[in-house]
Amino acid sequence: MTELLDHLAIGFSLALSLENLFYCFTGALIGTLIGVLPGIGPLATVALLLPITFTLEPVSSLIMLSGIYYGAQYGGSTTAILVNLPGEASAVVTTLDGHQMARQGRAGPALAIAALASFFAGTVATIMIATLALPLAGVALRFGPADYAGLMIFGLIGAVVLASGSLPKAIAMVFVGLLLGLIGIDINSGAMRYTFGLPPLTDGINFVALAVGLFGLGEIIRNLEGSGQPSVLSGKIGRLMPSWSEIKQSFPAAVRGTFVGSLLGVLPGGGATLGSFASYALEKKVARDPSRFGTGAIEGVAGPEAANNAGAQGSFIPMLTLGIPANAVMALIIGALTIQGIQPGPRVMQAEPELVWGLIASMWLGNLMLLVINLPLIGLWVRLLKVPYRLMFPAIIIFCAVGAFTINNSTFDIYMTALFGLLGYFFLKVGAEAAPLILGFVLGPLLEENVRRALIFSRGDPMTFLDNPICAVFLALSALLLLMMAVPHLRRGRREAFREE
Amino acid sequence: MTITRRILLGGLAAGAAIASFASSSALAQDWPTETITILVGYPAGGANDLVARAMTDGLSERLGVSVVVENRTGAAGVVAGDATWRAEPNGYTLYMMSSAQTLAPSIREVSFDPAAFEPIALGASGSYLLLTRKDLGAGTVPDLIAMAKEKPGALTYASSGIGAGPHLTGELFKTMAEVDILHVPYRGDTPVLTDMLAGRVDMGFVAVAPSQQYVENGDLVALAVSGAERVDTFSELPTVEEAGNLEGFAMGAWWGLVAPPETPQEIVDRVTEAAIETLATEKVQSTLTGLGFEPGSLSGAEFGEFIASEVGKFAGIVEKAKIEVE
Repeated sequence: MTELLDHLAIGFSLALSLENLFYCFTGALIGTLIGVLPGIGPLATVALLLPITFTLEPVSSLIMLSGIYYGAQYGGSTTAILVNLPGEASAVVTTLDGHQMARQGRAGPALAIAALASFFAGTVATIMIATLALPLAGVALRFGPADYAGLMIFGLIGAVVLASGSLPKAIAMVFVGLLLGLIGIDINSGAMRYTFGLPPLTDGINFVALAVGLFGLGEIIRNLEGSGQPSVLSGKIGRLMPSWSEIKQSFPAAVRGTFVGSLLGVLPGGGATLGSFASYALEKKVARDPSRFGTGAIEGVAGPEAANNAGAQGSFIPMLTLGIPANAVMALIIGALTIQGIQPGPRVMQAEPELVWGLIASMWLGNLMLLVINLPLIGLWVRLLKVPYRLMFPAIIIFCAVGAFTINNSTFDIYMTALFGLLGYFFLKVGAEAAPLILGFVLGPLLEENVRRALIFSRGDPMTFLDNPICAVFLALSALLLLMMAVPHLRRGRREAFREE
Repeated sequence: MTITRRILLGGLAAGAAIASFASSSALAQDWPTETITILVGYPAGGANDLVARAMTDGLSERLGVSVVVENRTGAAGVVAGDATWRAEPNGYTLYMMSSAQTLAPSIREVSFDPAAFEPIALGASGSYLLLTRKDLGAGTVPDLIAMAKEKPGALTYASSGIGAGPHLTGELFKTMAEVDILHVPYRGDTPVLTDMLAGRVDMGFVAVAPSQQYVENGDLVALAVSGAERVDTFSELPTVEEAGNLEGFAMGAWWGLVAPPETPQEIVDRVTEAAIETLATEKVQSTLTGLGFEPGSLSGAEFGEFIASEVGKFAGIVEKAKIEVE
């Protein structure tokens, strides 16, 4: 305990230096701004700023780059709520109820709850990293390919819970997502699948093109269907801050979201993404009236936003303790440290305690700064909704195109975004929801990779999935979930039984 | 004298010809006047990118214009190679090619010929470490070979992907040592190291930089280096060739600067001169060795011959090891 306090003292003394406070603030601010620009994500920004950090002290560059990373998580929720534009897989969930709230003139409370829930989760996650990083690191290593396969199957079955409409359509959308995820080089054989000889498709469809097209552009086309200003964004603004009852509703959701997010965030490869989806599904399950979800339930914003931020910070654990990046942004940050002569990993905790504890302390300060930056900005963001739609939609489309372009510096991705925009409009028209598709797209390739790897290790014996206890538990849970969906009468009967008690 | 239409047209044509001649020779003479872009086929922060970025400052200083890196990722580096192949050969687009591009033509159809780029200079090269999980119990390369011979197909080796350098190195090892080891492909070095640390996969060839700390920490065991010579960072480690008695075993990754085909010779020469000087500076040398790489010493025609020989070598391995990619 005293050791922990000593460490935190080192960390805060470093993070509170004027210079590092400046880099922390700069990172958080840049992160917020790029997060707010639709389609431009932390990956492109960190890549762009990488050369600048080479001249900084390692700890300062680490503080700034991480600030951009979690700042973008905050900013990303702003576009998801206001204009239905998710820049990352985790923000997809925020669009579901957040954008509905904005349409009802409750954009202010939605943004405020998103910021508050993120801050809460950030604080808890920082404490968790400080106290539990080393024991949790082992968890990341214990998850083998069979266990990941089990987790992904559970996630895919849970994906249909995201839909508020028809169950068969949700299942169909998961499968469309799985099929889209097949496009590209098969890592087990090196074969090209469904690339039609187009080189830009060999690495698969760009996630930003898919998400921005399906959600953002599809929505824009629908809004333009009528005449002029869409009725849904009629400039109704309402309160900026959430009411007491909204806060009371959100708090337990944020606590649960933080728990789910930090647990899954520790797993490299898809963990952090699953966090916000899992939290949403959980909220819908524990809610007294699940039908409110998808129509502007504030728990559907608070839970996933908390999970998202906790997961983003949780993903620092495998990086700091094992040197394993959980996602592409982490890989870039590792690259930045490598060129400074520091290789993140098991030895960094002992060899460079200042670096690690300075970063941990700066995480909490950064979260505080984000709250301070974001709460006053809510008024400004909400007022953006008053901008006439004929001016707003071309601007959104331009930013989307820029965002799609920056991922690979390729114009092909802009065409893809446009194509998915049309597809998104079609899905809106036929009443098929895109969120399950996104989860299928993200988890499908991971599922395939891990199933096949597990089978290589077991020399083709499928019993490997039942012999691994973690996987077996996930499979059992998946079966249970399927049963609950397949027998709706059973579920309804049970709920009525509870009500009578 | 009346100016007829024909004379006027003729004069214009001659003028245009002179102008275009003047501009093309002026192009080479005044070169460079605008920003030079170095294309990199892999994401920022990766080995290929770091080698390119280590050189930009020095090149910019010597050529007098900014030199920037552009990451044109996709299709295992093929997208950037293809973009260079089709770029205007004016010296403003250069390419930090990797050894992966010289093996690409032997495993799949690509739109460019890696040996036909204008060679500038080899930036850096690096060996792979032959790693095993810590409790495998094979302390030396002969131990490992004996273990693999005893139980054919029981051992597993990881690679960063089908057709990537470490995969070909693994296959060459199997062919030359006459052993049967099961290949497990991954997506990049990181998951390879994760599964090796967790003890799920037995061995693999991995670049020095990402694996160095695990070896020093004792979490992984390094048996040998894959290149023709020992490396400074692990001077006590033998090469696979000497330890395993596998004559001719030499594999590794390298990254070198090239220009699109038909770039004017004067321009290529100027970049080459600047690149040689840049690579010789202490700053670049220490950056590259710090990353576990050997700074490059080949340039111009010599580098070109090296590229051509690599293409031939990889084609031979792919054929011998019967690696098939659909």
